[in-house]
Amino acid sequence: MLVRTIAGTVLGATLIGTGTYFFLDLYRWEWNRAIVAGIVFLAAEILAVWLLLNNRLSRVLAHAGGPSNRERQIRDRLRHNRSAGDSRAFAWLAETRQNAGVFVPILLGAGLVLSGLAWLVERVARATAGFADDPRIAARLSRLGPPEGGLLDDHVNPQRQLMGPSRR
Amino acid sequence: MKRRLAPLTLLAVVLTVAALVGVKLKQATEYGGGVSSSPEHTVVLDVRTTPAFLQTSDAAAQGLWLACTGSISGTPDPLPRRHQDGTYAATIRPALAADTERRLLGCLQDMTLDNVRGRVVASCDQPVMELYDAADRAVSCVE
Repeated sequence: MLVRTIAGTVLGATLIGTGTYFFLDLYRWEWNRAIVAGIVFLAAEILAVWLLLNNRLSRVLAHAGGPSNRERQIRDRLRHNRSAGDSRAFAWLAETRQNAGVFVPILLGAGLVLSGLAWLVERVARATAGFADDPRIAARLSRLGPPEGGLLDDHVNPQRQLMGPSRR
Repeated sequence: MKRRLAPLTLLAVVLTVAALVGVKLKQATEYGGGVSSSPEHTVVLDVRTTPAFLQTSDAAAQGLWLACTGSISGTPDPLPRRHQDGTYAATIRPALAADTERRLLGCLQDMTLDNVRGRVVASCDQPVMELYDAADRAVSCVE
């Protein structure tokens, strides 16, 4: 914006100065100076017209193929939010009376340490508590299983003679 | 209605101003060839040359004077005379009308010759002797 203002000012001053001197030199019968002033005036005029057209064309193009309203709204919102407050790194570390954010990393660290300890205990237990109780457990569990030879094998049953019909 | 009138008004103003400027410029640049009632007109000239100019400054002053007085009325001195302060003075008779004087001065100061730059120190309807002091230095015109 500043560059455009400076360029516009210089261009305007050039146009006014050379235009004035063009007529002044003609009045003074200084033809060579008038020709030089006229050439500079024409160059500045062409530049001014080009700048004007370029400006208009840019505006038209921006209007024709620019971002939609939705995009513009989002962009404005993002820009507004970015400039709304200063970004502070590790803001939760700031000491305020309203929050206890400083304990968050302590809790996280404690959880990590406890998890490690639990993992270690589990590994040690798996390695040492292997076969000590196996026979006792097997004896207890065997009672839950079916009899030897299956449920239809009754040759070891002492009541076998009473259960069937007489065979004579 | 007002919207239509505004550009037309602007156009009319621009055309009127352009016409006035054109007429005035035509009058200002038109050579009338008139003379004044005074008997003589003296021009005191400071002449500077660039190193690219291979002749003397006397030759530069002479060339400039001859080139510029060749197309105006009156009888000019054939050559300008160099004075002690380095300026050149020449007289033309009779004195010039205002537009003719403007044309002569414009020609003398307008890079008429390559690498020669003239600057008019004084230009008035007075004899040469009145435009130099005792030490032969140029002084201003007496109004």
